[in-house]
Amino acid sequence: MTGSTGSTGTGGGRFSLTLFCWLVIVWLLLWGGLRPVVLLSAPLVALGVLLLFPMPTRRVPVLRPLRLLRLAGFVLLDLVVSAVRNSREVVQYGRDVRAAVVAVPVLSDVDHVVATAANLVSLTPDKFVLHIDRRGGVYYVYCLGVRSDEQVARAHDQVIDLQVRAVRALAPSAEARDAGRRADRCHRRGPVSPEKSPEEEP
Amino acid sequence: MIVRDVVTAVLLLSGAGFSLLGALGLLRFPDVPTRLQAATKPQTLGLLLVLAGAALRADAEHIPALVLAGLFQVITAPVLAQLFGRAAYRTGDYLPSVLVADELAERLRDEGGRPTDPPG
Repeated sequence: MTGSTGSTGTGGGRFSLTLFCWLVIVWLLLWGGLRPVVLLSAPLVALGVLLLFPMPTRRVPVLRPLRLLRLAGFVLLDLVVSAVRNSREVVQYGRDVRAAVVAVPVLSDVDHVVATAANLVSLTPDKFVLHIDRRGGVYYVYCLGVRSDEQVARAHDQVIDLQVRAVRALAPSAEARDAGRRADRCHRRGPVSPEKSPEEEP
Repeated sequence: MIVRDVVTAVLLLSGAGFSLLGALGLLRFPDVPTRLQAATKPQTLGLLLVLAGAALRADAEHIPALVLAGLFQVITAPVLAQLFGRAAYRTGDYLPSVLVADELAERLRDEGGRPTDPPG
């Protein structure tokens, strides 16, 4: 992940059963069938990948299916809305496009949550995480289509809101519980929804 | 049947449309980070729409592969965008005139240095 390799992420053995199962499933999906050759080669390939590219292993994170689904839905909606906004940026402004690098506080102290939140932010078409200051707890997010201080604040709060959802879905329960409270302290303006584009007045 | 054809057509065409707009952005935007946005992002949604359209018409046995293609697009696209974007920013390969605010540069001025990775 961007400048954030784990201090707490490593631990446990070299071999992760979860990762092994995942690799077997991917192999089976790739071949799209359960022919004997595929079934036999799957564990071999998975084992080979794990031996050739050792990954840090850790326990399976807390998963909350309902909140994960809601997070997925939110991100999908965000994806559509910002793709449309981005397209408007292309057509309307072109060379005169404006952007901003915004500092946003990181709401979690767990590596996989920090990384997932950063990836979700980067997935949406008008933002990507430029730099993570892991020790200082700051994301620096590049936001496209931002023209005024007002819009900078709004983009900032959108990233905070996305983070709250990611923390609630993935972080350990202690962190998930007070995510909302910490987010409220970080907001530069009132809560925003991603459905509103930065251009709209509240 | 006709409904499925129409839905498939809408999905495929809108997916292609987003990809086209991404390509247009690549031509019209002025510097690396903005072009990067245009090149990597709208086509994520574009590809997902095209895959969804294809899944509606494909045989059931091919659908897992389509799901896998979408999944890996969603996992890899942001990583690529971050790495390239960061490289462009670090090497100064961007137009300062595009940025209305740069809070990373402000902090770097205060500290008097360029950003460094934490060890590890």
